[in-house]
Amino acid sequence: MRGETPDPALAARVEALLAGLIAANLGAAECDRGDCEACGRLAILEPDEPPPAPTPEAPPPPAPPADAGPAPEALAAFAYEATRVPGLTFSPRNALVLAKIRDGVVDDPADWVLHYKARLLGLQSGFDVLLSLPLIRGVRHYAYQVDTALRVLRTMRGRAILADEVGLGKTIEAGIVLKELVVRGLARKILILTPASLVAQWREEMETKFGLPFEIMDEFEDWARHDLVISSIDTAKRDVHREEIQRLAYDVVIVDEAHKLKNRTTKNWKLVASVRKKYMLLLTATPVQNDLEELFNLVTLLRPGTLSSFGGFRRRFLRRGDPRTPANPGELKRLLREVMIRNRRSTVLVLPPRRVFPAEIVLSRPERKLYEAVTDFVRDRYPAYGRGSTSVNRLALIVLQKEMGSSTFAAAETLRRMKESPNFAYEDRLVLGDLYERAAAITENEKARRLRELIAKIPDKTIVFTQYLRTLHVLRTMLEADGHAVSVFHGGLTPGEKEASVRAFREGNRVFLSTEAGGEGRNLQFCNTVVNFDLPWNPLKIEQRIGRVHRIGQTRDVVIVNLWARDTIEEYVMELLDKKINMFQLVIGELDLVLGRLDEAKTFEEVLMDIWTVKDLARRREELQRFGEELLAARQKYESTKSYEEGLFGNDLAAEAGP
Amino acid sequence: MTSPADLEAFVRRYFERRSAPLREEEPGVFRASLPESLRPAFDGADAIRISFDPGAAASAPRVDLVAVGSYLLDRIVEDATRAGWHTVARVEAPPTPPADVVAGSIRPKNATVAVDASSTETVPHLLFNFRVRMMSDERVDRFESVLVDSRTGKERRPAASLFEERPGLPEDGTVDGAGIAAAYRSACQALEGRIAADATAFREQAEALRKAEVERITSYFDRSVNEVLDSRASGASEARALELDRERRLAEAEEKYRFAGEVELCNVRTVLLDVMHADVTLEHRGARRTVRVEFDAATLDVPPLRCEVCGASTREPVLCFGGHLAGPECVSACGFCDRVHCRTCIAVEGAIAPCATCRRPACPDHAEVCALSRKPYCPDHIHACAICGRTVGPEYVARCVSCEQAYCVVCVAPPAERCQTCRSLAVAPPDDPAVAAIRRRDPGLAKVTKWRRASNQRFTVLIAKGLVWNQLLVTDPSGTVVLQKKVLGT
Ligand SMILES: [Zn+2]
Ligand SMILES: [Zn+2]
Ligand SMILES: [Zn+2]
Ligand SMILES: [Zn+2]
Ligand SMILES: [Zn+2]
Ligand SMILES: [Zn+2]
Repeated sequence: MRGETPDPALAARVEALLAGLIAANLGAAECDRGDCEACGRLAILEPDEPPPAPTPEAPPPPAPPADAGPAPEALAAFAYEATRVPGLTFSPRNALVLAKIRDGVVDDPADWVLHYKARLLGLQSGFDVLLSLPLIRGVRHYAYQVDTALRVLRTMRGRAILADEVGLGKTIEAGIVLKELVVRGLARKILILTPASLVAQWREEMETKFGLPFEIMDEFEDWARHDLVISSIDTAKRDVHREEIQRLAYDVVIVDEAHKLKNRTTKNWKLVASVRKKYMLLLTATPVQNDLEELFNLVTLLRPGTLSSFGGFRRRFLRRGDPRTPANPGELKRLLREVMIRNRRSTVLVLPPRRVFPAEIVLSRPERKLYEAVTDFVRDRYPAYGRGSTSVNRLALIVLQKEMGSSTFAAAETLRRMKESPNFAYEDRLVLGDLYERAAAITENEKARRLRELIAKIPDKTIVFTQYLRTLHVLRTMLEADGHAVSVFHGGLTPGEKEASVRAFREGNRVFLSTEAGGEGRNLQFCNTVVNFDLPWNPLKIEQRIGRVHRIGQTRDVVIVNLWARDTIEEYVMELLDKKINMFQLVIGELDLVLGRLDEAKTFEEVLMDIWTVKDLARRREELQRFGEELLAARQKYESTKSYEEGLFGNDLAAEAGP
Repeated sequence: MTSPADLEAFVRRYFERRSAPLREEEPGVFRASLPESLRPAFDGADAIRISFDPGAAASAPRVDLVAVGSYLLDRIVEDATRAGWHTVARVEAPPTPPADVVAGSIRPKNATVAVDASSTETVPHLLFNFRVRMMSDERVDRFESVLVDSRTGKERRPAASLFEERPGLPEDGTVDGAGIAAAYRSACQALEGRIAADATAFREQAEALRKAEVERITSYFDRSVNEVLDSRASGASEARALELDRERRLAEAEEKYRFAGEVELCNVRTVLLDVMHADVTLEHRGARRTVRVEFDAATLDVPPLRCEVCGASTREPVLCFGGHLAGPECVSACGFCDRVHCRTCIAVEGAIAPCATCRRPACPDHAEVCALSRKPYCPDHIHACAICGRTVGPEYVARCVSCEQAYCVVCVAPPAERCQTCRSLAVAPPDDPAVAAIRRRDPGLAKVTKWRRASNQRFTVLIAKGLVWNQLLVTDPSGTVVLQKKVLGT
């Protein structure tokens, strides 16, 4: 059932979950059937309906079947009202059990014991332990995340700002808290609000990792019908949806990227403030972007009064003329500790250092000639193939240029297809045909030669990343010819084959040859050497590759070797990523923060191509320089934010920090 | 919390009972083929693969984890609670003689036990299994089983064996509707008594949190509204919005911390329980007491006796001098004989008081009160003065410097610190019996003719006058010389 759950089963499960949650939370509902012969008051299920399903962990008392139900006045004798414990109710269903006994129902003792033992399972005693941990799948959780969840549940009573630094898994922490509340029958209606771009990812993670099947709310969804809903905050704040959400009462509201709620006069803030909820989690890595009032607004949204009224806050914490530095930093931290948890990479993820080796190579003469010819062709045609029908050609050119950075073997195949493609003009196809002939004729590869030398020298297991399957196959043949045991890993493998490949690498193979980082969550940290045979033009992809080995569990220094050829676009990539933003030294997650500070509408890849295809060398260098400066500025901006947050929050807000 | 072993045992038994026993397919992974009848409970599957180990469940393909909160366990629980509402069990008196049962449960500190008469009757009981849930913004559960005598409504501690798979009886109707209702009420009352303290603590905690939250919210909105009205012309509409927000926040706080407790009756077992009665007689030093005890065949546990002084129960009662039964804490025993007084006896018989010197308790037979201090002393620490006959404690004992015997301080008067006896020595003729005895015994003194003598209730003091030195002798009632010393003549 797990993973491969067919849809009907999933649906049944959701139904069961929800029915159970309703029953567990509401007890016996008032019966809306005027003719209910069993009680006239109690909700008794139709005989042909399935019996009430249990919640996870909080199974409702299974109602005795209502066939031949006793008359209401007969049940009245079995009612009991608490006399010593105010607020305690004795379930009206108890009368149905008693009526069965009176009516002579006698069951098998084995069934009686099973029933008794079933009800003994999972008795809860406050948040002393997390019941949900064994139920979380396919994701490692760490001690600080467990500490965080326990602190949120125990001390913060389910209302918290989760402000871990990027890359520490705030989503996992939120998921643990959520699952815990669901498993304990404390949460039934849950609303997750995220930026539109993260809606699908949240849904996916909640389903696969936490077994919580959320429904994405789009334009025409009925909010009241679903208990577990995810929506983009933009969708939710539209009048028609907002009004409906405000009518409902949620048990939990989670807001991701909660810094979007930094202004309490905005619709976003007002929307979240107006939703009725018991528990609330606000997730953000950057609780303060411009000024401390943002922090006030966030905390007030969560727990008004924690930082006093705005006037009080201003008097106590704001300095005239400096909206970012608090007047009483110690006092502010103390108050924030009641509502905010901020775990820091430097304290929870102590990773060994990275050592980066740029391996610059010089292309062989035929490779060089071909690279220049292809580049000339690309530079010439790229600006011409603009939007619309020819944008396909533009993409082909990008791919071609990228493949040239990997190997002529990878490019040859694309050239062959391009020369035969009707999308290209006749004269282009002639040029492409010629380029293809030349590419196909090249059998030696300088980079590959260097890789063989490297592998021979490196004593340890090594992961080699390339973006292209054709490159991968050539390298595999070559390395195997050298006598190395090679595991390959690429998108064409079945899950079983992938598993086997990783296992073989772990258990003996020298080399792991992989296209793209693939296999999120796959543990490769037993290896500490990564060779980038070619460099993706998306820095986050490079980071993902490194992240395969540079993660918790890695005990040795991580060695990163970047292979790149002089006078190619890869030199540009290295220039920008290594020299300007030192990306190879950034901790996983930080790169995103740096790039997020770029005022650039285009993707990294597009910017790179735009620069590369400038024909005039001087202007090209100039453009590269300009973009480099931009990156540098972004990095500096990030650094200054980092040191600002260091001053504002320090280590005092970590989950395990002392009181 | 359920232990992993309990969980696994339950699940194994469940599948066995449903004719789909678990077989271990690979380490930690079990498989059950589901018979047709069981499939609807498991989404129509014809077989399932499960593991109790999250690690094994994650690494082996198509395996469902069975753990608290897991989907599969929920299905099992759902199915298991569809039947088994009520059974009837019979628990008969064992062949063990009642005297043995009593001897195992009542072990008096100081009395013999005899069981004089016993009888057995079968009493229908109802065993109620309750699940209690207390919720605020957290949740605490309890499981409570209450066994009730259906005739008297009296609660009885249920034996663990009452929860086992005992052979069932088809018979029923032993307790009628009214009886069931009455027993249920008694059980509910007993249950309330058990959980009242915890429920109160739980509710008070939630209430304290609610109060703090309401205060914080109220003060925030009070201040904010004032600030808005003070600072802006447009303040009025903003203030109205704040008021709305306040209402919502307060409602949230109420909702979040509202206490709700619910008691669910899970299932019931009618237990036809043999209940034995026995007259138990305790005997000690002439005191004798008979009590009637009752115990059931399931626990074979004679309830502890009640201390007649304080009401506490005790398995090691003491039968005191006056024939009362008391707990060990409520009696005192003499350290010199086997006499025991409870507090009731003390009123009648006097205290068993600790000796002012050694603290050892002594009963009225063994305690003496010092004539001078009025403090009690044990026989080891009381001193009877041989001159005046007073009994005094060690602090009022004095030694005469002359005869070196101990008397009470009254009889050894300062400043000379000689005792009354030594001060009243008088000339004795040589044929005085005491003098004559000494002269016969001691050839050295046989020639001495000048004697003085005095006696008290115990000692005789004699002085034989020599030329320069006199001899002082002290004899006890048997005539033994306990002291002989040279003293300067007068
Ligand atoms: Zn007592
Ligand atoms: Zn005595
Ligand atoms: Zn007594
Ligand atoms: Zn003494
Ligand atoms: Zn005296
Ligand atoms: Zn004397």
